[in-house]
Amino acid sequence: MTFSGPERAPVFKARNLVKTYTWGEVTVHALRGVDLDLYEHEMVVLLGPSGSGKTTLLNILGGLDSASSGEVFYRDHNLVNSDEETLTRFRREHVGFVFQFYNLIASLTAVENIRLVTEITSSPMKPEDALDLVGIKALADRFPSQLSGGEQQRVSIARAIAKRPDILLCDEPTGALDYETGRKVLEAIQKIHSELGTLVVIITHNAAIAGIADRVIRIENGKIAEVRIQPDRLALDQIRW
Amino acid sequence: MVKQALNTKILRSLVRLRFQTVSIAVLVACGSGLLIAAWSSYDALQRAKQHTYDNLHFGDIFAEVKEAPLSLESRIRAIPGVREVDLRLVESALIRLPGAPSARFISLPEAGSPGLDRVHLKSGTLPASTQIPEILVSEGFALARTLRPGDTLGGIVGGRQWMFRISGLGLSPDSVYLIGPGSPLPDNTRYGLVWMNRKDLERISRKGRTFQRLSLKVSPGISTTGVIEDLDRILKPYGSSGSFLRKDQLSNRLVENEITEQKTLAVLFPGIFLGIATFLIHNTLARLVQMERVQIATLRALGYRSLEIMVHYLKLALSMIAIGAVAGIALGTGIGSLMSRSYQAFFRFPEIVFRPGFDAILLGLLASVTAGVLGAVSALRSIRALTPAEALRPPAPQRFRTGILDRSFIGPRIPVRIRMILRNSLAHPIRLAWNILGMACAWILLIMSLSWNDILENLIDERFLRQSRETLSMSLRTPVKDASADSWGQIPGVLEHETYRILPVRMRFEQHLKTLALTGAPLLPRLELPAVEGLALSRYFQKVWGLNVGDRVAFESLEDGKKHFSIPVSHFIQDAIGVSARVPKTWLHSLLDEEPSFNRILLRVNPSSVPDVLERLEASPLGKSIVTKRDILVSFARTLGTLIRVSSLVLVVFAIVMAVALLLNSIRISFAERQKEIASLRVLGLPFSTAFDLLLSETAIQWILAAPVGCVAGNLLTRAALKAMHAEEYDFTVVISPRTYALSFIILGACFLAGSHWMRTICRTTPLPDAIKTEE
Repeated sequence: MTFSGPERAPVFKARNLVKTYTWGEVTVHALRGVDLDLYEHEMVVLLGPSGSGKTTLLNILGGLDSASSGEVFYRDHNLVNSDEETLTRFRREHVGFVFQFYNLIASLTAVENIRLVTEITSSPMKPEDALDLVGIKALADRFPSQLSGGEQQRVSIARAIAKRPDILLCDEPTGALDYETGRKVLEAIQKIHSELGTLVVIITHNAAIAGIADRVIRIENGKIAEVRIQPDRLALDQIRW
Repeated sequence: MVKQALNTKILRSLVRLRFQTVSIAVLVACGSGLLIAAWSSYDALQRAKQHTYDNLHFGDIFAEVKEAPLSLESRIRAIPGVREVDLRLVESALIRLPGAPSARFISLPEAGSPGLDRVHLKSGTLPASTQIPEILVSEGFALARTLRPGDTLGGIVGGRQWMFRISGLGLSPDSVYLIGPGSPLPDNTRYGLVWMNRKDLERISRKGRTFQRLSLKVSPGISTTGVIEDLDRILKPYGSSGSFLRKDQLSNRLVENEITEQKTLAVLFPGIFLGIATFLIHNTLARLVQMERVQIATLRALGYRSLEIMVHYLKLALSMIAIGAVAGIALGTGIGSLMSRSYQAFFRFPEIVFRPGFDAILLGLLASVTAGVLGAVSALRSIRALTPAEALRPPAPQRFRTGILDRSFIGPRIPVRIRMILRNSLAHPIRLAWNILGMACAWILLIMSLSWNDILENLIDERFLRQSRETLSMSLRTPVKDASADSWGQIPGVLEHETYRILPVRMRFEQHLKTLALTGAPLLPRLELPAVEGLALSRYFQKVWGLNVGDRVAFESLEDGKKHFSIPVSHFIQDAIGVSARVPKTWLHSLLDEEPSFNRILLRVNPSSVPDVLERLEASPLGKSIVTKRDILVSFARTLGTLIRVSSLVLVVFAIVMAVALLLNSIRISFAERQKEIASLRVLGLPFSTAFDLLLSETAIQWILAAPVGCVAGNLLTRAALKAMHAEEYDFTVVISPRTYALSFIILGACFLAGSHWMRTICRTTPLPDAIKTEE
């Protein structure tokens, strides 16, 4: 079954995506045949319980992991058959990642963490501008250990968007944050989505957050269980969790 | 593209990982420092030798004759290929100084002939012809006897007493490493060279216009074999003991031997040290990569290529190494200069100029970088193998299986905590082996360096105390009848005496040729072991000449008469210093067709009577040289002993520093892997000390298991090192005393306790929530 979205060319097209891996001594069937299209300028939320396969799907879309079988196209490029060099170039040029636990380099300041990205991409924004966009320009010279969780996550978002990516993939961006802080982070993501027109995919198991998305895709047990299109998505101040 | 942010990360990582940085830097500094020190010292010796030989015109071919007229010079010059000829008058003498040292008087070239084997004037002036004959004294002897220019010196030359005035101190290229007759080692207090004007020496020796020593310089590209044959033909009627090449000249041979030894040392020990540094670099980097797997995965997610990340970590490793290499240059220069100074007591070169050569520094840097890169290789490969998605997942629990122990009868009876330790240790045999090997390296370092002292002590004990029990030995100018030996035995204070017949020979087997002394020894010697029943040769000939028991060796007597004979080898003996050939004395008499006689006598003397006995012997006109055991031991301690002690001290200091760095690092890695578990146990309610001791016991098991591995490996490597160093002049027995093992145990035990205490402090002061989350 293919869930169709708006009448636009898909950025990602996934067909019969399967992923199994071993974790310790257990074989995990993370994805069991996923078909999915994602479009430009969309904000998509992937919902689902822990272990449902959301992160695995996001990792495959972002070129961090490869599928065991099936196809994933980023525009015309099949990511499944791509070599490591192609995937690295794909990540470098097109994808921004935001992780649940920020994954900032502890020994680099906020601005230096962003420079990690701006130094290897062709037309990045200024690191300071990226920080400004997420509202923490004043914290540029602080080390991660001197920042709160929300501030760290916003640095992580700034680092992800500084390259002006086509796709922003966020894995539980508010998972480690309280409501107020989480809201600020989502604000930053929304701002980037509206100002830069980036395709944003957010993984969450927080159903309330789904309200801000154009489409909500629910994943259960490695399969897409439901796709909900939301023509009237909610504003941030309309949701609470 | 300059990745400034990543470079900033390197600097911060160096500070954050300061312990690892320091331990790698220390190991590299020690390894490269030792390499630079040893290589520069070797280079200094090599340069000093070359400089001395070139500047003082060291000959190519040498010969000694009993006495030949100077008029032979024109015939010798006429030999095709001969470029320069130098003929010297030589006379042996006893010097009127305590202990009756012997000296070799050598004529200086006559005016107008610069000559070969020239004397380098260290101080004072050349001898002038004055009423009291002036002499130049070899520097080593003068320093050992505190003689200065202007001093007067008495001596017995040509059977008469003479007084001399010292005009200066000198050195010559043929006496850089000077060994007196009958002595196995250089002894500057017992033997020296004296140079004087030919006219004066002719007069006091009453030898007239003759020469006893000859050296030649040949034109480049000339076959020396032909020259030697022609020369031997000319000198044969004059009691020549046969001419020989520079490579067989005693001083040069010993110098070359020592230089080769230094070269082996310069490669061997730094090689081992750098090998161990490589191991530590590998361990540290592997640990670092494991620790930073999430950061590495993040960098990959951000779009960095594996290669870029590998280069980043390689830069980090090389930065740690660079710190060590720079410290190594400074350390190597200091130690090298100290080592070169210790050679001065051994080699009498006009000067040994130590300078850390560009090549030595380059070699040190190259070796350090190679060690770093080799150490980093597998850790860096693991970066390539690391898949970002996997690294971003929480690490999977380590694999464990129920083992034989669990299924056995005692399995269920083992307390859970002990089971935890056993499983941790046994479930990962490779990791366990790696940790044990890391700690064993510390043992290896200590045993290899500390055992030098044992080897030295064993050498003294074996060679000078157990194998030779005499108080003194006296060499005679010519053989005397055995019957007269009793008169020596009757000197008051002499407890035992034993006579030997020493025959200078040229020994030949297949293409091998060597000039040495064939000793005719009593069948049942009491004073000098071992007893021989046939021809006994040093093991050197077995190893290097490929001789086997039963092979016939040809001898040519170099005494008058030129007897030729051949004897089958009956066994091989170990000579710690030098090489020897021994046969029963009675054999030698029949081979030479002579009556029982001797030219060397060993005496065991009542300690209180030694001065009186010495006085009696010194007065004997038959004496050529007298050597006391005490003098040999003192000389040994002063020369070879000093050299070995300095080298071994340097090794010991380096080894201790490295062993401490290595062990502390191993303990740190071991605990880093367990810190999270300690925290988990504490969360479960175990008191800190119980949780800590539980994990400490795991590291203690590794430390205990490392001991036998390190002892055995240290023992084997010491043997291998000595084998690699084996040269003609030394055949040491590897002895590792219980003291060495005990000392290693104490040093490493203290290190383990200090390391554990340090880890205890770290674990205790780390807040529990942080420890639970910690990756390190």
